Amino acid sequence: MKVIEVENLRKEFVSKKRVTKPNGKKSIFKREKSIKNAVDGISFSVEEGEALAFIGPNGAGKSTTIKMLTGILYPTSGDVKVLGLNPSEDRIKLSYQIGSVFGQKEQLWVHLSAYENFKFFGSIYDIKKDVLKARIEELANIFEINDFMHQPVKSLSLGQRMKCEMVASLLHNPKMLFFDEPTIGLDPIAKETLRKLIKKINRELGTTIFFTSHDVGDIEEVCKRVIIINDGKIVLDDSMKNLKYHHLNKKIVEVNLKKNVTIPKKDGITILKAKETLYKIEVDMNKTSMDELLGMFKADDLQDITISSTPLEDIIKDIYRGTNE
Amino acid sequence: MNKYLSIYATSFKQESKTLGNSITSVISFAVIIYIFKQLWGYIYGGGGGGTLINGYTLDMMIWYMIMAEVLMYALNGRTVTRAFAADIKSGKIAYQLNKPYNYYSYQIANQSAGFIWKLCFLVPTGIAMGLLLLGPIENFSALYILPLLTSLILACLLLCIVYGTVGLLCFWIEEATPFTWIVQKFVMLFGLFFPPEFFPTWLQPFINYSPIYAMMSGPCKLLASFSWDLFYTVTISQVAYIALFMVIGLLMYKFGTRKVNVNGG
Repeated sequence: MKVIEVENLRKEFVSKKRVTKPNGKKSIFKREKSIKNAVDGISFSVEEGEALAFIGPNGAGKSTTIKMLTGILYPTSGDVKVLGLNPSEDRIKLSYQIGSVFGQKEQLWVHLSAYENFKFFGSIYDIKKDVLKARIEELANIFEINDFMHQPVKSLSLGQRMKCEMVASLLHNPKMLFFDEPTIGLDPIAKETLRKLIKKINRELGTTIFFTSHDVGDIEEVCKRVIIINDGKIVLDDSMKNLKYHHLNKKIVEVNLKKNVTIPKKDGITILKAKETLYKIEVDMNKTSMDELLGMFKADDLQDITISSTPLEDIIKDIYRGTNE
Repeated sequence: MNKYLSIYATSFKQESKTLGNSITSVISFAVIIYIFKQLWGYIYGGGGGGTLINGYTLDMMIWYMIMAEVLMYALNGRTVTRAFAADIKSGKIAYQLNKPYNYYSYQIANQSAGFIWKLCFLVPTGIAMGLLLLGPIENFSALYILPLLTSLILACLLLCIVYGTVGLLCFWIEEATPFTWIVQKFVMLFGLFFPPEFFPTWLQPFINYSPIYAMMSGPCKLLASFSWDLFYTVTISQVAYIALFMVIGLLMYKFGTRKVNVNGG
């Protein structure tokens, strides 16, 4: 069953700026309209229980799309159906069936404890007291927030706060959860915990996940399908497996050694930069493994090592290159 | 309705955690009342001695000022408007708009809790200051307490709804503070500083039928010189203006949500 159906969706943002006269000065009265197509005729659908990653660089149109799907923004044109409802027309009806978590934005009352907040959200969603109590208990165990849910929200760390935000969004047992860059600003450990929890919500509670991020790492674990958006247009709609095979197969390794070494030539290993004892190496995971690369160095010689995924911008360039070829 | 009561109760609980702010505000309120007492004492020529200016004795004038300052301190228009602007600028509106409530009514319930909390401090301080500086109000009866409190709360609610309606302009222009400033100055000029009787005769009917009378001059006059007729007149105008501005606000909200631009998309 399709829970999201989007057809030729567009959102324009109109801005006005002062006209520059031939003499170089700006006109006081004349304004010219500038139209930015934040979302430019996209179409896709999402099946019930799916975990979909909706990724793209900053300004690609991810957040605008999510806000149109949740009824916050009105589309300029096109059709949207979420759980059979039109989000902008049936916003309140839809709000009982969906939840949302927006990174670096808070819905909790900061001077109150998370528990007091949950009670508040329970009354907003018309949840009966005994049902709410059981639900809080269930989610508190899943999210492991029992130790701090009675503390004022303002005293919690960002990671703890995000866990509480997620619990608040799940109290009314939504059929769908929208995550808009939920890991933004989190440290690696908190990111990892949050990703695992989102995966758990999808697998154990069967909640459909719509996940936006500009961090490829976020989606590798959580989602089985990925849509990449750039300049308001969908550039890729594929399974995570295919994306990993074709585009996420390369890792960038930066190593700092105690002394100069000679790295032997090997298929799948490309030295991008070598400056004294600093090396930047690209590893094609389809041809070789990280173990093989690391085996080339003595453990004693390693001072520092960083492994990162290919930046999203490079993946998009790669996709465009592939399309053009 | 239960939802809005819950919003109100939660907001009140949140306000109660900021006791320090409320105490600072009360100190400043007490100082202002003392300054006004000195100023008006000078205008009336010392202790007043039964002098009447436009039908007001010095004591009536100071009780009028006390009520007006309670209203001004309980509900700062800019705080209400800024709440709308802050939600839109920070993008928090994204959370507010996809909840099962009407955002405009949510803000009214939320802000109302703030002024009721402040009234808990301002009303006793105002009464204490009045009794200390002037002594008891002449011919005052305990029967007047309930109508006075009703009038005060309705005035605050009306102020909140009026500023909330101005705040909704943020859906179109992001920053509605200049409009709030204009409304505030009108309220101060035609309601706070002087009772309507201090203005030219031709202007008085305009003031008496304006929202400023319902949210400022009316309740202040009630404390200065209570009469049941005045109470009924003020209450009717308060209820009528609350209904009118709620309708305007809800209509603006309906159209405004189509215009809203949320940061980051």
